[in-house]
Amino acid sequence: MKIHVRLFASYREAFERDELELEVPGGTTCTQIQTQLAAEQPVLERWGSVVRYGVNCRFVPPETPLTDGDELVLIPPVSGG
Amino acid sequence: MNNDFRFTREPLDLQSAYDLGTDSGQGAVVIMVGTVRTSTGGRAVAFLDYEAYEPMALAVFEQIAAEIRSRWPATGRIVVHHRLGRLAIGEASVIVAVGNAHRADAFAGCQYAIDALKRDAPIWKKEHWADGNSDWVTGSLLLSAQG
Repeated sequence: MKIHVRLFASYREAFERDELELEVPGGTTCTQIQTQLAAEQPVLERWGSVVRYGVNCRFVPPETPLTDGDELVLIPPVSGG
Repeated sequence: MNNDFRFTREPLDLQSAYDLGTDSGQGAVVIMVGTVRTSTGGRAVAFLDYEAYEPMALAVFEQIAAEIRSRWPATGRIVVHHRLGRLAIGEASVIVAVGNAHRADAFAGCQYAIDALKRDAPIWKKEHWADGNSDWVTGSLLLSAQG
């Protein structure tokens, strides 16, 4: 299945782009995406325990399985305001 | 819903936020303005850079507003205007305005709004230090995780 991954802050800088299109097996979870991205860009390993996930603009638990066409955003610690 | 949420790369306008945040049915409107300070932890800041995942951040603002209306039912208008891009020292990064029939609830609602925004809205800021280095601000979450 295909998912769209939005990248911000340190994720965007690590990949030098603001989104990725990934082809992954059905049922892949949000945390598995984080693991995969951190394997490609080890600088992102540090966020593994604190990153949050949004699927289609809603917060979801880390173990949430993705479905074809989902838009996933990896949310490193925020600091708005 | 009497909400007005927006992101902008232009300087924030306090009068506009006030005009949108008040109406004659309210007894009070509390306005919080976040500004870029000159240093963090004793280290001089040159400027900040803000970015946001706007569609999700706007959805988070809606959830925060719903929670405020649930906790303080006499809430009137709720305004959140957030700046993006490069901000100089002293510039306003965010304006939150919350109206209510009563001032105590207006204060409470406004404080809840800014605290929840900083905790949950997908908005990031990068501090560019006077010495030329820069760091993403990680907020309380990571700091507490690292003790």
